[in-house]
Amino acid sequence: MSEAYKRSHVMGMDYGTSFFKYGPISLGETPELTENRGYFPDKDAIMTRIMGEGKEVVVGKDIPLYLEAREDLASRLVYPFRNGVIDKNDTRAWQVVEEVSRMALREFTPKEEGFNGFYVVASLSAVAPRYMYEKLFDIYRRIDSEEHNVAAATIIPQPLAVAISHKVPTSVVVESGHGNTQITPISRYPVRTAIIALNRGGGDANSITAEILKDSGYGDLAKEETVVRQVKEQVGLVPRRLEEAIRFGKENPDKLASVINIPGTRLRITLEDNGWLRFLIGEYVFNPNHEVFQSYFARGMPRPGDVKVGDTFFLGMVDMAEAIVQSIEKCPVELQPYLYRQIILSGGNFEWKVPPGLEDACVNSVDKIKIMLGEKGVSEAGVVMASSPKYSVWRGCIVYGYAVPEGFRWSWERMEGWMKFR
Amino acid sequence: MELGKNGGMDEVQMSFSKRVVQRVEKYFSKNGFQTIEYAEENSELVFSNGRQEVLVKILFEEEADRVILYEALASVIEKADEYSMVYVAAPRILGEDVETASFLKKGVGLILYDDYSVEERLPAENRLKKDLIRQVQKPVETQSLERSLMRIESMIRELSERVDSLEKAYFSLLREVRDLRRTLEGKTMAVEEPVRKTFPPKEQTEAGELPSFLKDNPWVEILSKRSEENGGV
Repeated sequence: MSEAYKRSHVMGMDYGTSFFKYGPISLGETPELTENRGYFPDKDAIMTRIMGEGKEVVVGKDIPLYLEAREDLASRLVYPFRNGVIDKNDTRAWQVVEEVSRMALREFTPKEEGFNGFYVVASLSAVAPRYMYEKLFDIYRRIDSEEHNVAAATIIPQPLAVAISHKVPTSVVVESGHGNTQITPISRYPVRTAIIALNRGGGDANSITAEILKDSGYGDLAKEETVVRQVKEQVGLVPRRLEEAIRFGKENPDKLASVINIPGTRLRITLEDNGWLRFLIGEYVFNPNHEVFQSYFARGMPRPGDVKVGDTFFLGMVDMAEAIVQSIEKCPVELQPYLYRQIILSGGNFEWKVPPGLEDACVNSVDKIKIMLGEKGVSEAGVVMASSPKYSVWRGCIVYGYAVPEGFRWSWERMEGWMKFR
Repeated sequence: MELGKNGGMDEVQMSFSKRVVQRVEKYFSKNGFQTIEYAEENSELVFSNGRQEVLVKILFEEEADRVILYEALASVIEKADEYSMVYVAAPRILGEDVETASFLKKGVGLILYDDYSVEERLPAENRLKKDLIRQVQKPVETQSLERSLMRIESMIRELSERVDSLEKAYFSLLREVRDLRRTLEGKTMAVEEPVRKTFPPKEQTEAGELPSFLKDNPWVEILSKRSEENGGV
């Protein structure tokens, strides 16, 4: 097929932890978006009775129609990419991936004559093992054999897509999601040997928030994940320097006292004298090593441990600046200054606010990383937040598919190129 | 005036439900059907024209959501064998966006209502048509009488449809006038605002124009050389 055909039929698919972003190049600036999850309905449910034929897994906008108030809801609702990596034998998770991919392709398959399939550019976590690539290619092969809508496919790491959409060929992308954080140096290619993964993400900030709720007398609410997440988002703060911030908080309790209203409910949570605990939420994401956290570990909060997922080790307790330094130092010395100049923070776990009046005590993620790197002797670091973090991976996918030549075949050694199924 | 136990709410509710039922009854009566049964507890109306019986399950606005709509669909499907045609009547605000494939597949009709009108969005499948074909031939006089009756019925239907469409056109014009009036009021207020407005940049790309993230992106050149760097195609 021609280069011109490929350019006009690029389809991006970003398999994020919470949302699946998808759509062809013709969508312009923003993709379609749906929750990256699938529901395995009860065969006796009402929708199954109506439609006559039982769907094994439901994805996309129809899910709410099938949801039932059942105790086993959690086991029927599957978020395949919750931790970035899907187990090889997790059949249900792979079924969801196949179904969301099929839905995306069907939604945009044109009726025009001459349509011969999309050039799909998918994006996975930087630490996705090789079997995930193989499984995803198998899925596209199967869909194409049934529906003839995938001309070719390729898969790129999410940090590379972020760097591409930011128009920066040399950078370090720090992607922090719900389950983990990945640090990926990029110099025209991802430097795979220098990738460092942390076993800490938004989920850990939720854990410390739950402990704070317990200490403040709201132990019953600490079990509700949605409440905990909303509290974290409303009151969590990143301290400029933790000890100074705690001192400030204890001396000025009125400045940190807060009342949290949970939207759509009558719930009100009040943090008064212990408002300084708000600083612990943000600090824990960046550095869980301070002694103040020891008391929480001693009382049973799980300490982020070192784990191996697929072929990758996820480090638990290394602080974020240390991880960035370690990752950059695995790259050639000549390259290192360029990498320090462009550190891109991406992902929902970096979205922290600085409330008016607290500018002296707390900072945003960019300044926190700059301060932490400064303490390690890196004084001139350039740190920026990814713009449009929700869509930047999808945008990178579109640029990649648009630019990589149609005739460049997939190479398992280099992990790039187009995999063709026909 | 004396209000009921619930501060008059039950009465308001009842009159609202009653109005909806009356609107649906009026719609079917225009098509030659009379109400023969109304089961208030499950909001089901049964109509008959002497030869056919039609079941209509009504969803009222305050209880309606998509799940309840599908539950209503399931419940009329279960009773479909007892009637010539079965319908679900739903508020327009709910029914406009509903996925109709399951209605079509099961031959269930969908009626939408609002404050102004009742409209048959999907016709129901006539389940007794096949049986009618198999019916024993009737005497010639009866057949001719029936034919005349059907002709008259169809003329009445045609007339009633024309009145309906005029009524719809009238209400749609009325809505348009109200919307225009609201827009004009809004604009007047906007003019009074002392704030200078800036317009957000256009989100949508024009046909043929590249998205902003592709323009002047150094990666396009880097990536387009990939096959050359790696030993070719």
